[in-house]
Amino acid sequence: MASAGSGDEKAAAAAMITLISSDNEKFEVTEATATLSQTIRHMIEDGCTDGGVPLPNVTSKILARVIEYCKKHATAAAGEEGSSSSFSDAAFLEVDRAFLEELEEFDDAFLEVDRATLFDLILAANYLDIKGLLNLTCQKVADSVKGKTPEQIREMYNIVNDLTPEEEAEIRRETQWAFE
Amino acid sequence: MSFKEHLVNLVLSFRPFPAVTSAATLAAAPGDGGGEDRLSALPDDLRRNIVSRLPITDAVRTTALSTGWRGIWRSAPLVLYDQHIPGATAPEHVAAINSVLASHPGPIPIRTAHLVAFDFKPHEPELAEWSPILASRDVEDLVLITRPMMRMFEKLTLPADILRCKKLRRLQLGFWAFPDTTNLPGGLGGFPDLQELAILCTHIADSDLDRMLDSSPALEKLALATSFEVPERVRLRGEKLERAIFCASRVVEIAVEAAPCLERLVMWDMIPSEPPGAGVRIAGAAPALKVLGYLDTRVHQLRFGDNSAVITVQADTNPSPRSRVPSVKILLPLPHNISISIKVDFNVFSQVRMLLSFLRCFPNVETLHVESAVPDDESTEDQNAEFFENLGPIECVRFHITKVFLYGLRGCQSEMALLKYLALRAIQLQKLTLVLPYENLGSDGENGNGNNIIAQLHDLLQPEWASEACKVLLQRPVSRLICSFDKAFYLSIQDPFLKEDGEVLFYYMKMREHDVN
Repeated sequence: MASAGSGDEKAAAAAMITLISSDNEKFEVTEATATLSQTIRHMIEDGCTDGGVPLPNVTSKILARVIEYCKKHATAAAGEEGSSSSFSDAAFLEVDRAFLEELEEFDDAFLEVDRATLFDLILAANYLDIKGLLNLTCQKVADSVKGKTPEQIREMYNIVNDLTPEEEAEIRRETQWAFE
Repeated sequence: MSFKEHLVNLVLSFRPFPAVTSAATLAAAPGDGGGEDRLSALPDDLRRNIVSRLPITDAVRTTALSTGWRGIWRSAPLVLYDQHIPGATAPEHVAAINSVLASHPGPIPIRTAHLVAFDFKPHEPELAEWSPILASRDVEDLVLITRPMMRMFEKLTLPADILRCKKLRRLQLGFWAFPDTTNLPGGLGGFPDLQELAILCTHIADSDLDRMLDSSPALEKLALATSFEVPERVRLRGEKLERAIFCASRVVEIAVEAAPCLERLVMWDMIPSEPPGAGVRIAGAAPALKVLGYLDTRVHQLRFGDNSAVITVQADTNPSPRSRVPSVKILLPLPHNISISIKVDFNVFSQVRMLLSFLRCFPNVETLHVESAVPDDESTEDQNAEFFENLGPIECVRFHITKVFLYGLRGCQSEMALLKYLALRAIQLQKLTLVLPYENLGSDGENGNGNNIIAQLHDLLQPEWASEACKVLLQRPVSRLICSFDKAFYLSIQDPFLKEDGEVLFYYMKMREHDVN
C-alpha cells in the first residue's frame, strides 16, 4: 500500500497543467508549480483542467512572470518539507540558510519591474490567489508610500485630490498627530 | 547600565520582529505611470491589504489622499505598533492611541496592538478604557509592556479585561502583575487560538499560570523571563506545546508533565532558588525533546518521575552500576539526535561529578554543549585526575555523542581531564569545538590567545583517540550569549545552542594512526 501511495504522489508531482493567457498563449507547468495558486488548485480538485486552464484576466507577459515566481517558490516549499527532519543538524542548517537567502535575493530581483507591471502582478496574484506573491507585491507598494506626505504620494501615483479644502482640513484635524 | 535598564532591554528584546516596519525603500517602482492612477484603481480589499502594511502614521495619512481613500484605512484591520507613533512623551503617545481608536471605531477587528513605549502607571484610566475595546474587537496579536519608571517591584495590575481577548494568537506581557483568576467573574474562558505566550518580568501565581496553560489548547510557545518570586513551579503541559523558554528567572521547579510535542526546553541564566534545590523534573515521556539545557550544576537538580515517585539525580562519588539512577531509561523514551547543554563550575569537583551524572541520564545525546562557569571564588581544585581514569562507561559518550562544544575553556585540570575522557571514550566523536572565555576576549596576553591551552591540547592530541577521525578547533568567543533565547523562541530550524564561529586559533584533524599511514 505504502509503495503504491508514493507512486501516485510521484505521478501527481510530474503531472503537467496547461495555462492559457488572455492573449491565448499556452504555458505548460508542473502541478506543483500551478497549485501555488489556490484558484488553480481548486480547479484541479474539481477536475476542470482538461484542455487547459483559461486565465482571461492575465496577459502572457504577466503570466510568464507569475510562473517564474511559482516555479522558484514551489521548489522552496519542497525544500522546506525535506528539511524538517534535519533539526539541529548544522550541515543542513547551512543549506537552509543559503537557500532562504537565495530565495530572498530572487524576490528582490523579481520586484525590479516598472510600476505598470507591479500593479498587473498584484491583480494577477489576487485573481490567482497566490498568497506569497500578493504579500510580496503589496509590500513593495506599501514600502514606497512609507514616510511620505499625502502630496508626495499623490504626485508619485498620479492620484487626483478631489477632496474640498474643507474636507481635507477636517481629516487632518481629526488625526492631527499623524500629519505633523 | 543599571539593573533596571538591563531588565527593560531584556524584556524588549523578546518582542517579535514587527510585521510592519517604518524602514522603506525610498523610490517607487520606476515610472511609466502614463498619468494613470493605478493605485486608487485597485479593488478596496487590495488597498486595505496595502494600508495594513503601513506604520500607523502612514496608514492614517492615506485617509487624506482623496475621497476614494477616506474610508480605506477605517475598513482595514487595525495594525498599531506604538513605537511608530511620532512624539517623544507618553501623553503624546496616549493621545495618539486615543485618536486612533476613536477614528477607527470598529467593528473592524484589531489585528495587532503592540503597546510598549511608555509607563502605563499615570495612564491607568486609559488602559482601563482600552482593555475592553481590545477584547471586544478581537485583537489577535497583543504585546503590552509597561515601562517601570521608579517602581521596579511594585507592579501594575493587568486589567482582567485583557483575559477576555478570546481571539488572541499571541500575548506578550511585560512588567505587570497578572490578575488573580481565582474569582474572575465568568471564570477564565478559553484562548482557543493562542499559540504564543510570553510572560516577561510579570508576577503570575502558579495557579494563574496553570489556568492559562489549561485554557490555551493550541499553545506552541511559552516564554518566561526575569521572574523572581512567582511562579514557583511551572508544570509544562499542552498537546501542542513545542518550546518552553526560561530566562534569568528564579523558579523552584520546572516540570515536564504532558507535553508530547515539546522539542525545546531552554533555560538560560537561571537564578539559584532560596533555599537551594531548584529542579528540572521530567515527569512523563518527552518523545519529541530535541534540545535541553542549560542544566546548571550550580542551580539545578535533575529529577525524574511524578509526585509519588521522584528520583533525584545525585553526583555519583563512585559510579557503579548499583548507584546508577534506576529506571531512567524507562521514564525517558527520548529520541535520538538530542542536543543537551550543561553549565558547570569545573573548579568544584562535586559539580563535575554532577555533570557526568546528568550525562548518564540521557543515553541518546548526540550534541553536547558544556559551558564552563566563571568560578565563584579562587577555590582550590580538588585532585581528581584519578577519578576520570577510573570512571566507568557512559552510554551517550560511548555510542552517540558526535559533537562536543566546550565554552569558556580556561584550561583547568578538570576541563582537560574531561576532554581526555571524551577523546579516549567517544567512538562517534567527529568534532570537538573549544571556545575561550568571553572575559578574555580582546586580551592578547597569555589567556587571550589561548597559548596556555594550545600547549595542553598538544598533550591531549598525543594518545590514541577512540574515534576514527575528529576535528579539533579552538576558537575565540563571538559573544557572551551562548544561547540566543529569543531565537530559541521564534526560529524553527536551529539548535539554539549552536552559535556563530569565532576566529579559529588552533585547528587539528585527529586521525587514527592506521588512517594516516
